[in-house]
Amino acid sequence: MRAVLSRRNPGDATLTSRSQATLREPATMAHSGLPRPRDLSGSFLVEELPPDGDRFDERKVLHLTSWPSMRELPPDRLMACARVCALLSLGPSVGFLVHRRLGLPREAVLPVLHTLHADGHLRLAGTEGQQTEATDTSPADLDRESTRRPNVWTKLLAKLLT
Amino acid sequence: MESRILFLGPVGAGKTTAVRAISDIDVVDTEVRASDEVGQLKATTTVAMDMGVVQLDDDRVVLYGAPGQDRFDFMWEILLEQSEAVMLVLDHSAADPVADLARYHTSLLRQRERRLPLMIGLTHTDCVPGRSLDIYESYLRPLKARCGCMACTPPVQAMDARSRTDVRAVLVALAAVLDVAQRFTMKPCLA
Repeated sequence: MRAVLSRRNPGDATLTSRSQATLREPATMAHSGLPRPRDLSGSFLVEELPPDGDRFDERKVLHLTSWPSMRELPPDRLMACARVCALLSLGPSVGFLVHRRLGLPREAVLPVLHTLHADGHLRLAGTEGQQTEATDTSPADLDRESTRRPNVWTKLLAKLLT
Repeated sequence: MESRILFLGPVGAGKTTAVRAISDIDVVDTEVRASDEVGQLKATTTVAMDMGVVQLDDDRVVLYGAPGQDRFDFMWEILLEQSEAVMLVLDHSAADPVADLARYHTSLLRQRERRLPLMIGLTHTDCVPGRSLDIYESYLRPLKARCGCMACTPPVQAMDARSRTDVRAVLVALAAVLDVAQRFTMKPCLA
């Protein structure tokens, strides 16, 4: 359900989380006026508030947990999605660096990241400064990226997508 | 420049069909009439290899299809030595596809000096609609915890080997992995 809602409005994925929807439910049961059973728990808010890692935030470190089914992707998303997943399969990366590292437009990558996250293929953790694990964000990588020339696999990608 | 991808997997998984679906040329094959128990599965079988080509401008990517029968497994090593990546094609409707995965995966991980990026393509998924693709995840999960490189924990993708669109989509994923691997430092294999 969450994924479907997010696809309708990819830029607004954080507003559609299941946990938030739960919080909008009335605090009392309409027919009796009694508090909902969950509210009896003192830790209700702690349990029900979405964890930070649940909201997509491109400042956070993205971990790829699984690949989407490639054959079900729309053709215009196929390359960006494959490259994003390939990059993240090498290691976690801060969200806002993904498009720069791949040399793709931000507007092509961001909806892909939103959809991958909404479909449960990405896990978010920490912020850039907190995550030493995201080693692939080093400037050296970006330099290599900017000086690279198309290799045979880039050409194969281009050929397969024509 | 010539680069090579090896299509590997058990008999009847769809390696030859997948290579045919994506090749720009008529596939050079070594199909012969099956004279053993494979004859009950299909009329012909590959005995040496299949070869298809995706032609690029000045370069080309050769797609090798390895024979699936164990008695031709010496061909796997010959073809693996020349390949830069592996597409492991598994029949999801087989009696024990996870055992097939384990057998091939273990063989591939035995190549300690040269572990190649790997992608798993599952065929015949429509034949067993009740069987979840998660069964492969349970096999791969411990490896992911231990290592997580592309050889140890390959992506698992469903595809119809007869469908050019499906094979292409999975090959796009593999090409993206190879492209990124050339540009960034690959995660070292810790297994």
